Amino acid sequence: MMYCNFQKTYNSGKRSFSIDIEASFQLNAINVVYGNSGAGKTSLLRLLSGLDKVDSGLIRVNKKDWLNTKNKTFLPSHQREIAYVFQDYGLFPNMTVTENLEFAKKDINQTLLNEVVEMLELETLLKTKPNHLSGGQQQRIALARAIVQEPKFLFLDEPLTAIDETLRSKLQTYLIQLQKKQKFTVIMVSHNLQEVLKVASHVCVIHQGKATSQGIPSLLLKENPKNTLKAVVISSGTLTIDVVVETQKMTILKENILSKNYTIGDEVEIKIH
Amino acid sequence: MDFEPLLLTFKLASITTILLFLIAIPLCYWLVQTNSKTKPFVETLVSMPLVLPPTVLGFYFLVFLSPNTTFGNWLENMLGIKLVFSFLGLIIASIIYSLPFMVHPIQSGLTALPKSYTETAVLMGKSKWTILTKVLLPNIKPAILTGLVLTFAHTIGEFGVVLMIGGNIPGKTKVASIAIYDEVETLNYAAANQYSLILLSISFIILLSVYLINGGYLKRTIR
Repeated sequence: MMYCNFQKTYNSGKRSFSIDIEASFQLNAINVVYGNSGAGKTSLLRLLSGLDKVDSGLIRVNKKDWLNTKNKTFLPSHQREIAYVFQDYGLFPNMTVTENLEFAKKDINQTLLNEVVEMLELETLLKTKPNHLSGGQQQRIALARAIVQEPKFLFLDEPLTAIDETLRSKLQTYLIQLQKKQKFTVIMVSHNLQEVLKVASHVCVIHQGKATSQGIPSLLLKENPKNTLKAVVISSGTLTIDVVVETQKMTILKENILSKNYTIGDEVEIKIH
Repeated sequence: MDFEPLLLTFKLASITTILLFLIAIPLCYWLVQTNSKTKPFVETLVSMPLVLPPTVLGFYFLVFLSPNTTFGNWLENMLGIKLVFSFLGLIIASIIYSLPFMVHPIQSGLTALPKSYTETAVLMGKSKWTILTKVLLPNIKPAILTGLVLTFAHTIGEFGVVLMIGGNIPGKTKVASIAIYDEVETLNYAAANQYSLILLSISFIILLSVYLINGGYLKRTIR
């Protein structure tokens, strides 16, 4: 298990934003950090990876401290064996796609590389430089580059947002299969509920810098942190509805399943068939 | 026309540009990465030549490096290095005087790069040297070109510092800008004009090439 309990205040001019999180993540599983925009999801990933330093707290992975401010333990980022897909992809514009992939790891696993190139449909892009590609293409390359590093931890910050729906669904399935095969730990930031319910085996809901609820995805809607709207998904299974949680109401998009609008304070039950 | 001042000018500009580039890269990398409280002081010192009259800089060089001072005396007697009225002194003075022209473009270029480039490479376990040479510098080529060219062009145009620290020794410290001043003093306007025209043309061509390259005009023509 990865356990974290830390505090951090980001100061930017007159604004400040505080993270105060106690959460745990399952190892060798797909964990999703779910929350609204500005909730602190990306900051959580950055703090877990050591790219940003916490003010105080602890990160413990399998009884080993990555970070402990009490005894001043700090495992440098590059020793945590994390591959990270940033929201802006972080692809190097001076290198072609192939060079980006090969730069990521010495003695790259060619079998895995070929598989990833095929699965992420990158064959025609290999000789191109990232700046000449669309956002969705760049996102796939960033994901491929992270996977070929064969990391122990794969940190994904909204990794599939720019990809069209058909391919996104395919990539979600591939990610699930690959995770089972490679046994790495995924911590993925998402605000797409459908994605969360499809890929996650553990969900951590973040709101205003705090982990408000966590557990298996079927409990995800138990507490919606932003508008205190409560909802419970009472069985697991293939998701056939898409749910959008808005500030003022909850809308079930497929009206033939449920068409009622919910207001703040309502408690709802959503059955997934 | 005596070509020696021109050759000396280009020799000084070339050496200054190369050495300053080697100094500026680690300095800029440090300035971009650091959260040290000394950073504003270093940035201020780097930028000083922009606002300081060249004669002030030249004067202090003269004072501190003169054989009459302890340091200057030690340099000359112990190491046999004479910095005042020598070409070596000119190089050191030029490096300091042109510091902001190299540092500012490169620092701006590095600052403008997304943080995720460095962070991705750090997480990959790449060394600082690899990150700098394979990731950062190749992505700020226009900024590097601007720094190199501005430094070169600025060194060509140096006058005050050169006159103070180097004087006017033919073949040693008499660069083109000094030669122009010399010719004007002796009312030899034709020679002054020849030097001036050459410096004017070269400066124009150098700066134009930067704008053409950085603006992508040459690539467009090639395509």
